[in-house]
Order: sequence, then C-alpha cells, then structure tokens
Amino acid sequence: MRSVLIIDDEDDIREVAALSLEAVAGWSVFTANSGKDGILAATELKPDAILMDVMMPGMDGPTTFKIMQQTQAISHIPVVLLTAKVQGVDQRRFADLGVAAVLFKPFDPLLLSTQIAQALGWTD
Amino acid sequence: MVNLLPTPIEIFAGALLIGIGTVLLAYIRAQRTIRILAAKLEAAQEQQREDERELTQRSALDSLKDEFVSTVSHELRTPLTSIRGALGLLSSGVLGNVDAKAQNLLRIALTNTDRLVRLINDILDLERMDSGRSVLQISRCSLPELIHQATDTMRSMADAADIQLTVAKNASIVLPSVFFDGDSDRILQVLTNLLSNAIKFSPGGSTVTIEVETPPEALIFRICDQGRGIPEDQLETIFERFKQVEYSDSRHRGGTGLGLAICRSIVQQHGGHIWAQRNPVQGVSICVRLPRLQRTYDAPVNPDSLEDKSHDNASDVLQGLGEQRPFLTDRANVLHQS
Repeated sequence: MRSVLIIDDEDDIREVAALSLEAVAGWSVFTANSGKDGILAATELKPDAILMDVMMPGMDGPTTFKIMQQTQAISHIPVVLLTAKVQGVDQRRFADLGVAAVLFKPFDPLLLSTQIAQALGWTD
Repeated sequence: MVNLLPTPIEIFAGALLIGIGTVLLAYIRAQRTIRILAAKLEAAQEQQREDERELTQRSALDSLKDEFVSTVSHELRTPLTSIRGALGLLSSGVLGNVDAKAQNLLRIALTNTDRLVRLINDILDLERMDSGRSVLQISRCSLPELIHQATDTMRSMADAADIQLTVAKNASIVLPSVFFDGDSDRILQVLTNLLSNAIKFSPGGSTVTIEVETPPEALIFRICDQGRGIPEDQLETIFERFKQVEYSDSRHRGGTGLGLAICRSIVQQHGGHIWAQRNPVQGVSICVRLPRLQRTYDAPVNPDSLEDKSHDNASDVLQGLGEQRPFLTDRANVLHQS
C-alpha cells in the first residue's frame, strides 16, 4: 500500500485531501501542518511521496522542499506541490524548483490520487 | 586749419572700443544663452526626476496590484478547495450513499462551486491580461499540435453533448506545415474556450468544424458551429465582459461570460484579431487571425527569486525541535498509532 504525507497549514484541506487519497485510492495517509513538522514527519515515517502546500506560515513549501533535498534521509522522496497560486509565472517557478509535479487548488478529490500517481509514474 | 582725421592712436582706440564692445556683446549673449540653457537643463532634470518618481510609483503600484491579485486568488481558492473537495467526495458516494434528494442538492452545490471557481479563474486571468502584466512566453508553435490537444481536451464534452468535432478537409491539407511564433498555452486556451463555446451552443447531433487558412505572414482559424447563431447587432459586443446573447446564458450554459473577452485579450496580445461572423445557413463562426512572426521574445523567469536564503542548512531547522513527535497533526498521530 502506498503512503503519502500531506503537509498543509489548512486543517480542512488536509482532511479533504487525506480522505480523498484514503477513500479513492486506498493509500495510507499521514499529515503535518507546517514545513518544519513535515520535515520531521517525513524523516520518521519515510512516506512514498509528499503532497505539500506552497504558501504556509513560517516555512513555505519551496523552502521546505529545498531543505528536504538537502536532508539525505528524505531527499529521495518525491514531492508534489499543491498550490492555490495558478498564475503562469508561479507555475513555472514551482516547476523549476525540481519538484515531481505541481497540482492546483481547488482539486477534484476523485482525481487527486490519479494525478499524483501519474506524476510519479505509479502504475500499481 | 584743423585736422579732422583721426590719429592712429584714435583709430586704434576706436577699433579697440569696437572690439571690446563686440566681445562684451558676445559675452552678454553667451551669458544669456548659458542662462537659457541652464534653465532648460534644470527643467529637463526636473522632468527626469519627475518621470523617475512616476516610474517608481507606477512600479510600486504594479507590484501592489500583483500582490493583491495573487493574495485574492489564494484566499478565494483556499476555502473553495475544502468546499469543492468535501462536496466531490460526498456526491461521488465513495464515503457512503446518500438519498436522491440529498444527491440532487449535492449536485447543485458542486455545479455552482465549479462555476464559482471558473469565474474566479477568468476574472483574475482577464485582469492580468488587460493590465498588460501577463507576459507571453513566445516560442515556435505548431498549430496542428495545438488543434490536436484542444480537440482531445474537448472530446469528452462534445461526446456528452452528442456533438461531432471535425477538422475541415482543406485544413488537413495545410495543417502539417502551419507553424507560428506564439504562447502555446495561451493559444491552446483560445482554442479550448472557442470549442467549449461552440459545443455549448450547438444542438445535439450537429458538427463543430475547425477550419484553417494560411495567407502570407498570417494564419486564420475558424471554429464553426451549427447552433442558434448570434444576432447581427451583437457580433462585436459578445467579446465584451459579461456580454452574452441571452442574459441567462451563463446560468443555463455554465459559462462565466468572460471566455470570449479572454480570447480577445490573448489574440490582441499576439498582435492578432478575433471576430464573429454568421454562417450562411446556420450557426456562427468565430475567426482568429494571428501573425506568423512575433517581433519580441520575453525574458525567461528567474527561479532563484523564490529561494529563501535564511534556510540554507537542514540542521538549522531541525535543531532544537527535540526528540518528541509534535510534528504530526491529530489525524497523523491517530493513523500512526493505529
């Protein structure tokens, strides 16, 4: 069974995204509500992938991703950014960071797991 | 007898006086010219300072507006994500069945949430384009490829409405060689918007056709439907914001009333032209003419601007958080413990 760590400061979005991945795809889901907590959770839980918000207080998504890349224990875990910033310039900036994919809010809860799987090349 | 002739000394003195007078006059003139030039220079410098102040203010205003649009976009989308997600999960039945009345209410809520999302997207998109802050990413584009992508995207919508999407035969002949310089994402947006409109306003069983022409230095594509058409007096106004043929179109057809305005902005940004014309028998054609070559290429985006230099070392962040596991949310703790 696949496991995904969701990092988002919005409680409701974490809940909806987690329910979506659990109910639709049957994945195991962990959640964290900040970049710092996300790094610690990823280090301990070693999920198969990380779904992370971009705009978070304290440490934003791109910064968190950069730190994850520098942390050997978790640098191999693919990160998918989930953002409400949909303007072209933002999209290109996020894509240039080197994340596995950039998905946009609002997402379709029935398609979220498919989009993540496609982005990561998961065929199971 | 008096000698009236000037002595050499007098001649010399006179010449000297004239010389001095001339020099003095030239000096006075030069001084006046210098004063005039100095005043002009002062005025030009003042104008330059004023221009620089205006430029700085305008740049600051643009930045503020960009920040505002970005913030509004984020703040509107965040609650909509929760609403859209919750409604989607409930109405799909993956969390359990709901009765028919509740299902219908969920469908209404979901449809209107989607409409609100589209409206927000369109308003923000149009605002950015019309303010000139939406920069085109110009590259060599293949029209056949874009038409292929657009028809692929719209195929399921057309199938659901029993509409056939076709590319005109003459277009198929010229298509392989049709390339142009443009922003492929934006032109794809134009194509999908126009196809979506054509499908929405066409009766079931009819055909939406894409035609292509390639006059010198330009290309023209037309999306032709067999729908109800557009009255002659509205052929131009339909490209204005929220101007639709019928007031209720946005509610009944699911549009935002901004699609054609967005198309016009994109096409105009490319130096092109968009217009509507009534078909001889039935329906309407929306025509787009684009120049094949753009004169300028936009500067690439600098990804470094996103970097936060304050967190260069992972240990800085991890340090001090201790061995506890305060990082998991309630949900994750429950899941982890289980």
